[in-house]
Amino acid sequence: MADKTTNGSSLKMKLKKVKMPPAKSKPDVSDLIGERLRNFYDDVAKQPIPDRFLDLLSQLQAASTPNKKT
Amino acid sequence: MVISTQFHDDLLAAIPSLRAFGLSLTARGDRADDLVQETLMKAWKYHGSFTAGTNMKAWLYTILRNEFYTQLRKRKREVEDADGVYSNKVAVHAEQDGHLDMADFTIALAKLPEDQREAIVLVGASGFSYEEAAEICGCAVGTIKSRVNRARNRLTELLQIEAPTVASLSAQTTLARRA
Repeated sequence: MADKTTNGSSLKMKLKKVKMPPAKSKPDVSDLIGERLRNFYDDVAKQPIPDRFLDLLSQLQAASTPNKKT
Repeated sequence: MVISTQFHDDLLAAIPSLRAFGLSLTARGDRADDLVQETLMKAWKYHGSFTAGTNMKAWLYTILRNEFYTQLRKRKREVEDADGVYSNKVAVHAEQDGHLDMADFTIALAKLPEDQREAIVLVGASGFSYEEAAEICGCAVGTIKSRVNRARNRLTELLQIEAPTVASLSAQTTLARRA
């Protein structure tokens, strides 16, 4: 691949460029298992947020907001 | 203490995926939502330890995961679950909680050891990189990678997914060439 004039160090750099994964490597779960896993997960994740959590967050916020208003 | 609206909104936005992560860990809807509830309360309480601008999703997943292991340890102390009993319970709940076609996947997932289960879910469904998953689980990136591989192999085995046969592959190739 590399032509004969390429010296060792630049060849190394070339290899490094090709082989180094990006800072955040993308996982390869593109197969059937990955698909079923995502279906399972997204099935829950796309459900509307249950009231108990909406109530909880309102309560927490109410409790942490100072009563006096400007 | 004053907590920003942004923090509140970010928590709200994270709930759906936290529920999904909780369900993958517990395989039971009721326990999953209890974990989410606990996570939201802890996040609110310790919001001061969260650095704005950093990965809030990862922070919340870490809290939920810690809570899961705390509860798991408690439960294991209380009842030593005989082999198979757990899987049976999961099967019943999976059928109650979701579609039937989803049930066999949930059961297969529940049969994985916890460390493999969380690894494949974080990386394969929650959208985290290997590096982030390692951060959440407090282990090395290489460890996450090998757990994901083992999880995938085991799931393939459990779900008895057959590799495409040579015949069907060559048929596909023929069709692709014609197209």
